Amino acid sequence: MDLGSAGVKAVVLAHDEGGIGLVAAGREALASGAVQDGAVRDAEAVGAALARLLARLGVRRRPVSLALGGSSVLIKRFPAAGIGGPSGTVGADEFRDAVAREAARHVPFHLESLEFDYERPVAPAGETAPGVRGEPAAIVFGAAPRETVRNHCRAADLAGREVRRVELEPYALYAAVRLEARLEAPGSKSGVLGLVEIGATRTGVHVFRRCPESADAPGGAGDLLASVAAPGAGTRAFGVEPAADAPAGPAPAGNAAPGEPRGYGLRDVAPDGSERSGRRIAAAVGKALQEAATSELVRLRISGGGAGLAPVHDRLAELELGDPVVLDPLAGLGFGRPAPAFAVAAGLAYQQLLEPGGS
Amino acid sequence: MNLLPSEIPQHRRSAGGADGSRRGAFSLGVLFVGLSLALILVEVRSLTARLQEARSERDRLSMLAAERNADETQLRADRERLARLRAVEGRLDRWREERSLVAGLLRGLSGAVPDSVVVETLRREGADLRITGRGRSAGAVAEAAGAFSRMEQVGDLELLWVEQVGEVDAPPEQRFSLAGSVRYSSAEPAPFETIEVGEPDGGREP
Repeated sequence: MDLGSAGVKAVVLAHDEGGIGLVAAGREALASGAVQDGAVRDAEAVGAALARLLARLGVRRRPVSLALGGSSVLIKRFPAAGIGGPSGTVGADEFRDAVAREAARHVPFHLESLEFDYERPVAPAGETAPGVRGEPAAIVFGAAPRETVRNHCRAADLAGREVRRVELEPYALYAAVRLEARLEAPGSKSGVLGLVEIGATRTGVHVFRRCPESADAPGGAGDLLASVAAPGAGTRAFGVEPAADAPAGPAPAGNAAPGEPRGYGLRDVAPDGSERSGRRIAAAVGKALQEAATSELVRLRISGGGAGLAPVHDRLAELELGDPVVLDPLAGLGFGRPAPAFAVAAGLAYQQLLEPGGS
Repeated sequence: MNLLPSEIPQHRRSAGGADGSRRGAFSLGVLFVGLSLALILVEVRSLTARLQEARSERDRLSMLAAERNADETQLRADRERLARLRAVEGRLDRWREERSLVAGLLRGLSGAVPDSVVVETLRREGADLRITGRGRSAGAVAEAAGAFSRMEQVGDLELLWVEQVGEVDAPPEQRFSLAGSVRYSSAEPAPFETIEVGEPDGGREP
């Protein structure tokens, strides 16, 4: 479930012998201010919207995953050297404590007020980054204010659901890419991937390096190199309100950008403010790539409710990274139309499927 | 990555090398919690037994304290009784001493007067000492009593005055009565009762 400023979205996937299938997907509008900048401000309203949505979709399953994004999320990447040696030589709790101590040097907050977790991305073979090949060269530390996490969980609890995971938005998006790649013919499983999530009130840009050698199959594990937010640069800045729950049906026609896969329709918007917002998103992409400090070929994927905004595509095309491609994680699952706005929710659902016992 | 708060049951990552260790940590955590609960149960049972033992000990101490209080009460009563007995014993000793004192006085008087003087009775009546005897013996008795009182054999006996009745003109067989007052410092309310002095064996005729 994706709790966004404009509404809550849910995706339910199931896995059987025939493969992955879409059980339900939908969106329920939210009152303005119930979710601000990725943080739940009115848990009762969000919980009620979630309950309505899940009832409408006929979802009875209690375990759910949530995603956290926005400026309240803190992501830091620091070298693994000095944390405690190669993985497996220390206990998980001991290593977590060591990560917390190291993070305290990089994070300007008291860890006692945060919920945090970390990733140990495995460097691919031939990686020249510091560290032993095949062992984590860096730690990706993610944290969010405890109150923000609790409010998310409380909203789900009010909807009668049990939260199993509170994922960071970049990783949910990366899981959506993996879901899409799994449904399509697997393409390049290495390289650098740029994810641009354009929400109602903000845009997040995340740069991943794919690690195909990891056991994290399919699609390999994602090494988050950089994450940059562009607050305010969302669909509302373009004068576009998110559409209501998109029913299954044919893809909208018109404005198809050259090279756009699956004929995703780009939307032209009023020029007022769109130019500035488009430039801000492009600047965020440039900043993220700069922070990622990678010289590999970057492929851009766009998701979120603003994935089809033509001005964004125009500005991103100027970065000469190749034409950005709209992320459609539900393609081929019977949703009937591209659903980049469901990327976070679909990624979360796919993550649950990959967990032991997921179905 | 999973930011789910620790107090909420969480299922950590399904893929990646950290999952196994986390599941293992979870299992170890469950085992640890189970062992902790077992230890707590054992400790609780031990504490319960110790508590029961402490209660029994407390009851025993309470009983002992009650017995001690009873013993102290009895001891006080015994001490008071002993004090009373010692007071009575002192009075008896004093009484015996006074009895021997009067006997000594009588022997002194008998030894001091001539044989013709017959002292029949020596009676203590309150603070007075009354001596009776045969006629014409009063002067000798009074003189002997005065001399005796000046002796230090009976330091507390003081003869204040002597009254002679029917002494001079009475026939020899007439009895005399000598009355005097004796100050005797005795703490006892009745240091001695009446002491009867019988007639000497064989009689002493003047």
